[in-house]
Amino acid sequence: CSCLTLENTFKCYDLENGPTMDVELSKDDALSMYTQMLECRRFETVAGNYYKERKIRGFCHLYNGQEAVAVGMKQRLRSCDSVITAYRCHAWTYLMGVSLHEIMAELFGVKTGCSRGKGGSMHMYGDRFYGGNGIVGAQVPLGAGIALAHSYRKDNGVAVVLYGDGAANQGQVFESYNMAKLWCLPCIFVCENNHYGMGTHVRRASAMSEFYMRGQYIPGLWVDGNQVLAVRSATQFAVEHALNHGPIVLEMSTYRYVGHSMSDPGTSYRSREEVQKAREKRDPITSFRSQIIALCLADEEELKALEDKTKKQVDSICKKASTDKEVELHELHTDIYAKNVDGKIRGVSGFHLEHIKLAEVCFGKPKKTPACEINDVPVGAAIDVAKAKERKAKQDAKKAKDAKGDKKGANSKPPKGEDGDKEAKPPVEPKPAAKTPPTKAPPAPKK
Amino acid sequence: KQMTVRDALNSALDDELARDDRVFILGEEVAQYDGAYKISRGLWKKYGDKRVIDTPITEMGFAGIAVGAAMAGLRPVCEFMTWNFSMQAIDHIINSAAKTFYMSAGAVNVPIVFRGPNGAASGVAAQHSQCFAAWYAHCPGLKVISPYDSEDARGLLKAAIRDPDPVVFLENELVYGTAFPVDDKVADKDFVVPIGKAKIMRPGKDITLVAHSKAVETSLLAAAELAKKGIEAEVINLRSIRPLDTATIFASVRKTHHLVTVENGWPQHGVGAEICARIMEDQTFFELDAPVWRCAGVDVPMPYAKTLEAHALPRVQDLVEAVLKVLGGKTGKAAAANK
Repeated sequence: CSCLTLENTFKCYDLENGPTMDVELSKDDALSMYTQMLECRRFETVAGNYYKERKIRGFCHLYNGQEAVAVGMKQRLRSCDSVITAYRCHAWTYLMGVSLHEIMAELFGVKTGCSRGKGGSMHMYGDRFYGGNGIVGAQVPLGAGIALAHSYRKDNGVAVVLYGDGAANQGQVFESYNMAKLWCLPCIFVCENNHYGMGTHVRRASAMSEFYMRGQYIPGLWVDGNQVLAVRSATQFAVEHALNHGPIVLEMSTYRYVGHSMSDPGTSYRSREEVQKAREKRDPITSFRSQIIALCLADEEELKALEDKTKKQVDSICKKASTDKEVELHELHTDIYAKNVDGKIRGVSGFHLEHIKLAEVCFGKPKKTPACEINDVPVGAAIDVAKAKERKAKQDAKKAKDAKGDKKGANSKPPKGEDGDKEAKPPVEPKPAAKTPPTKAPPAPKK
Repeated sequence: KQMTVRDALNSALDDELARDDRVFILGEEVAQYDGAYKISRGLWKKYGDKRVIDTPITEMGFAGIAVGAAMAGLRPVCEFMTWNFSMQAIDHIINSAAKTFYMSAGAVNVPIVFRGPNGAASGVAAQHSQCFAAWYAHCPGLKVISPYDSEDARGLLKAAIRDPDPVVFLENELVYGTAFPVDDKVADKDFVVPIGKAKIMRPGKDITLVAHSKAVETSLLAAAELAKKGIEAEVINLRSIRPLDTATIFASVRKTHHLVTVENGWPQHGVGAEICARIMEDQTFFELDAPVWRCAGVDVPMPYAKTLEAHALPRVQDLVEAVLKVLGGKTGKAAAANK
């Protein structure tokens, strides 16, 4: 374990004491945080590449440059704490326990995706993780509500609510501040200030850009959000503050290297030099790497090996996800209601879709749908193959029955020769018919 | 036995607060003021600050907080002083509440009730007089309920609070003080009315009137008028706008072969319009002996003056005229009565 003193990492607003500047760092913690940051960075880079190959569609907001915020915070959150964030949510989803495979699968929109292909980049959930949210600022009152639930249950948990500098100007943020303070909710508001709301610099969007002071009557703390140890220390402080004194606003000063989303090259409103400078001077990963080496927690060689290993692992996980099966069509009409009291769901031209419920209703404890409930049904061309197999199976069964009926005696099985010739492969796979999803193919609309 | 709609709602809230400690009420003036319309009267005294929470006048914020609490497993009843103000918070009703279960592939459900008075009040002009049934019923993921009498109000509110999905509960201020006769069973602690089932308020064989909320009253009065002319109108109280109980409507139309829809909301893309479309897409269409007709609020923002306001909503005589037009003198008795 090594000790170090953090410098120029905090500014306090309406707080008597700030977080501790003298921090300890064990080798395990150092390597674990370093690995997590590498994983998040590599994942986003790979996602960006797949996006450019058009394998990922729609909106895709990457976290490159901001990794220290999520990784540092997660280090000091307890298992009873909840998190909700905005649409830039891949890293948080991973840190809250969803596997990189499931996240990448969700981006591909395949059946193994953590939201089974129905949410995409912005809508991923996990245990005590209430999602990315696609509406700028909407997650802030939701997070205050989650804090209300913690306080209501007296379960000692806090809610961490993350939003960007763009969302910080939303009216509902101030409405949430107000109620959180009035009701003394255990809520940590975290403004991830990456300095651009889409393409608008903070100075052009916020009349007052000291976001840690914008809670006015709520104490605040400015944190160098690119220093993972500062973030970690600030989080520990914030959790204690939230539990004992109610809400606190953290401003995590950071920087995003990529455009706002994949459709934004990120060059019209800022210079390449600015991005380059941030990468060189303030990168959360390289700066933490230097710290680890300076503290002699690991050497160059060890870190290099770790970097190579992580890169390979992430790449192979992502590649594997890209080969997963397409999401089935019946997911279209699955889990619209926890309790459906309507009859059929309307399809394009008639009420012929069955409402399918795959989820277990879990009242506030998001759980994954058990794998056994994700039926393995064929898609695309495989459907025809499956149908042919089914027909064949029926014919075989009929033949077997006939053979019995004829009472030909000794051999109750159908004659092997003929069937064996027709069947190219032995039927090793279970009958697809047995695995049909709990729905029928939509019948034609009534005439 | 008589019960006002206000008492029906109040007792439903009381029952459910007592039954499930995850249930709590929040909204403007719900606690110390006893409710702007006194629906939550006495509940703050009985259950205290934790269960009955006054909020500032910030709909977007408190609706979001309520939805967040529901995502985290509580069962909030979020009162809008009137539904008109829900426009400030509609993002949380649609985007945060209605869609989360689907988007999360069923990982996060949102057991919340949004409730408050809806529809035209009296003398409060355009911003405070409108029906949101069609607005919210448009969105999958929501259940939309529009009770009429005390039995509806009590049974459906209790069902809504126990429901695991987001429910939009549209009350009507004008009937809060009205006492309706109720069975003894309605007072039972476990009395619930199933969501999604309509109720036949008055049987008849000549024509069907389908209505919700206060328009049910107009329809019943019109049916009484029509009875004097020898026309037996069947009156259906929808109770639930989404899901829509088409089975009950279709069965009635197969019997009467004529239909008039009645609502106080605007006509375009409204509840009546949806009912017309559903019938056309069903075999029931061939059972009709005349086109379906809609009686709806006049297609204008609600005016202030008393006479204008009265003419902006379907009145009994409007319904009677519409029915006679639809029947077109085909019913022997009706034709005779017309002459």
